[in-house]
Amino acid sequence: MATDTRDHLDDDELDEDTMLDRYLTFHIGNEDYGIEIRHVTEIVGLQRITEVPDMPVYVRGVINLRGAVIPVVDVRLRFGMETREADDRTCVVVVRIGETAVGLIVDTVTEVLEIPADQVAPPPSVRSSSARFVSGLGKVSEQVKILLDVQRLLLDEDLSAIADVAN
Amino acid sequence: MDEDLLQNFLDESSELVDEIEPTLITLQTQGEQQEVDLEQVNALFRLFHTLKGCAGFLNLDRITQVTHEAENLLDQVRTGQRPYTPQLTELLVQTIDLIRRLLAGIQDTGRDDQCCEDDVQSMTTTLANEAGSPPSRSPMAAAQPPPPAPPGPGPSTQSEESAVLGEEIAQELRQRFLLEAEEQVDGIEQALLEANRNPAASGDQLKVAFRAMHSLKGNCGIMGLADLERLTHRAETVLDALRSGSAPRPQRSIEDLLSVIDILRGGLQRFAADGKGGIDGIDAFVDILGDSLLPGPGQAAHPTPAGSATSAITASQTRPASPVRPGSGQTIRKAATRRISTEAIRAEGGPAETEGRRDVRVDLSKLDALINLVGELVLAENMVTLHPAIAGHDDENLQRAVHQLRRVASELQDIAMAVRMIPLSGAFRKMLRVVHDVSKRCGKNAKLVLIGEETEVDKTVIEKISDPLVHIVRNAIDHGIETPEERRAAGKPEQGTVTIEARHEAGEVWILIKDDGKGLHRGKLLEKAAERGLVGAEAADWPDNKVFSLILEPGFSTAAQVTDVSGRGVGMDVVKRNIERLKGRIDISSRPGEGSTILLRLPLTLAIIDGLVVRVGSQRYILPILSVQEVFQVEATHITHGPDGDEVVRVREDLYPAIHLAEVLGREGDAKRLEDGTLVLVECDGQRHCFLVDELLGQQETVIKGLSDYLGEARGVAGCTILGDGSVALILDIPGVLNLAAEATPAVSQR
Repeated sequence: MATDTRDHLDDDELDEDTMLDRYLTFHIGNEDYGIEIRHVTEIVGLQRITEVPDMPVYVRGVINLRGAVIPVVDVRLRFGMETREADDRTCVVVVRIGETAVGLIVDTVTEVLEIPADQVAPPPSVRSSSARFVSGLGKVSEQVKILLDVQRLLLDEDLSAIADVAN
Repeated sequence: MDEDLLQNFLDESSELVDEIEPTLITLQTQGEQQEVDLEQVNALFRLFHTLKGCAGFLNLDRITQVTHEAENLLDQVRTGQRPYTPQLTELLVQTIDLIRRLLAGIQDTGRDDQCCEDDVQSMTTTLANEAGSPPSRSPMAAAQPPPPAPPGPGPSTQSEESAVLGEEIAQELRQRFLLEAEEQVDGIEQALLEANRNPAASGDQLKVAFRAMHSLKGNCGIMGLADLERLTHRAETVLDALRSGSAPRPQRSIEDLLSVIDILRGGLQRFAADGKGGIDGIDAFVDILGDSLLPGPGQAAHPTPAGSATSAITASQTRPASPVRPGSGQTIRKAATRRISTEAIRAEGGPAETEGRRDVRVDLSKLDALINLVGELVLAENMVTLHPAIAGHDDENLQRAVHQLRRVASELQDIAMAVRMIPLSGAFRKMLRVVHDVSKRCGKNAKLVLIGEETEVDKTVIEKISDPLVHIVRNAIDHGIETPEERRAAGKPEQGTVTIEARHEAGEVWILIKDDGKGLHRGKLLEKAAERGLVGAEAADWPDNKVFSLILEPGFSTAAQVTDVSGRGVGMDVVKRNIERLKGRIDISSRPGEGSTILLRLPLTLAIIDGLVVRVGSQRYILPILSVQEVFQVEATHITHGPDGDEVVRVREDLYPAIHLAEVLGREGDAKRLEDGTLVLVECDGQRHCFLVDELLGQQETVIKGLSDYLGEARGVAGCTILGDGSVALILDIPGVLNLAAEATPAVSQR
């Protein structure tokens, strides 16, 4: 049994090696953001959203993704920014943490970039509400991409607000 | 240690232990009434025996040890040497607990000698002491008071006495022989399998097998069983050759021996039935064993007798005739190989208990995957067949194909639903132990009556119903049933009764837990609730069932002391939440002094819903048909507006409060006024409300998909489904919607 687990880990590590330091970047407002590609399962165009009552404002509802019903989060609203009218370039980035899949609504998707660890500066110590989602600042040529911690983006304490309301 | 084998063993043992417990309790009840059912004792004995065999096969010595002693004790009961006493129940119950712990230990470490060493030894000693000295073959039966199920008539005169004694000895002897023979056969089989699997280390195994076969032969001789003796004698010869290394084709010999084991078992069965143990076609088997000791590729050289021997074998084993080949029968060998691979773990393969049910072991995750896929298939089928391009298409052949597709998908769904249905008996029988334990701990005397345990429910429900049931039963005994003195004083029988009844009722499963205890006192409940600030003055007007439901509120308990069993006020509200999570309801009724009834109403399944599809604004929602009473439109004249802005609708002679679904769900509906839209009258917890929707779109049976875990428990929403056009429709949870509405407009909730 022990050997089995170890083999499994090795496989994972191998995959992660090829995905390490690679980020999917997207645009929201005036800034570029990035999230680790290993969490991303696909990118789809925005489609009909079914609203769910009694949810935090940034949870826009659910969509039908090839037979699976997954929730979608408006990242703008999550950052406390104003939402904006969807256009042809608005996308849903589907990320998966463990068993849960969630779609992130972003303005546009840019590209996949490799940002080696030495090019990533630690996040600013500004205590703003959205700063807690930032895992670092990545430098690519002359630009800076704000790297997001997907786990926190999805599952941060704010979720307790959902739980409270639900109970 | 082979992972699969071990897991198999754990699964099977778990089941065996689960079967043993309720049987123990049942026997206990019977013992009190002097009506012990011998068949039950036998069944119990066999269960322990099987457990011992399986454990032995895997060299789990601790379990083997303990079960062996228990088996001994039970053997004494079934041969009439001791009655079945409460003391025995206690001992065996403790044994079962110990075995459970050992099994858990095995689950963790793969071995059974890593924990509970002291307990194992002390349990073994206690059981052995209880059993006393090993029962001899002397006529003990006459010396003791008549056992509960005497093997023969009671002795009266001297000659009759000795005749009867003779009869009893013979009976005892027979039992003893059979028991030993079964064990020996089992042991031989295990040793042979082990030798087969591990040829290098087979020396010891073969010695063991030889010795056992030798003893068996001897025993058969003593009992005068000619055929068995002959066959075992020949088998012994083969084993002798094997263990001394002089067998030319050891593999083949072992295989032939293994198949002969089956024949031996058959003979023993026969003996148990008619006392003679004849074996049909015995010559053939004897020959085959002999042949296996002949050198060289013997198959071609065999004359026709071998061919007929093969058919004799197939005939006596009543198996469908497989291709007959010369030699010692490919059929037998196939059977032998099948035995090794699939039945390797069954130490007791003997008397098959044909119950008419043929079960197959399936990995639960595979089953889940299958059933989920069927659900997906139904949804996808809907999307295809309802697509305008297909539905509107003129082609007759296409329509016929579509129709066929629908039919097949529908049948698949029905079967998938049926597969998930499991009888409640498993969950119910666990309650026997709970009643037993709680009664003891609370100093009460209570018995459990089960009605309708064969009622089937979806497996998702079964898993979650156990805990609530335990809580409710505990409560019933702890708080409901009075002490024996109190009951006597009240003119009730000293022994209280807890009844658990299950039945199907209009698309639901009803589980009722009744007790004949002191019932619920309305006044006391209201007092306590007021004390805890749970209710205000208006509660005085509440109907009884609403008052009784107060016991389901968190922190509520009228128990004078907080006992270990219940009373901490934690139990019942957890029950309520669990039942709600199953989309069920709890109704409580009671009569002071006479008892209480807790009714659990659960949907038959959590997977499919028959729903009404409605439109509110641009979205569609589904309302469970079970809750819908009627759908109608109303005229302004039938609407009354209250001072707080709430509206009441008159339907024939009744008045119902109205709720604008659009508002509750945070949407924009088309109809702003009740008279402009459609009203749906729903019933929930005995109360009725009218929901305003824009349009009624139809009725549909649909697969429920859960909302993502990410969303947590969304109030008002019970799940979702995908409609034919690919859009997602939320399935509304009526109580949840009412709660949301109550928050928006407090006035609504007070009806």
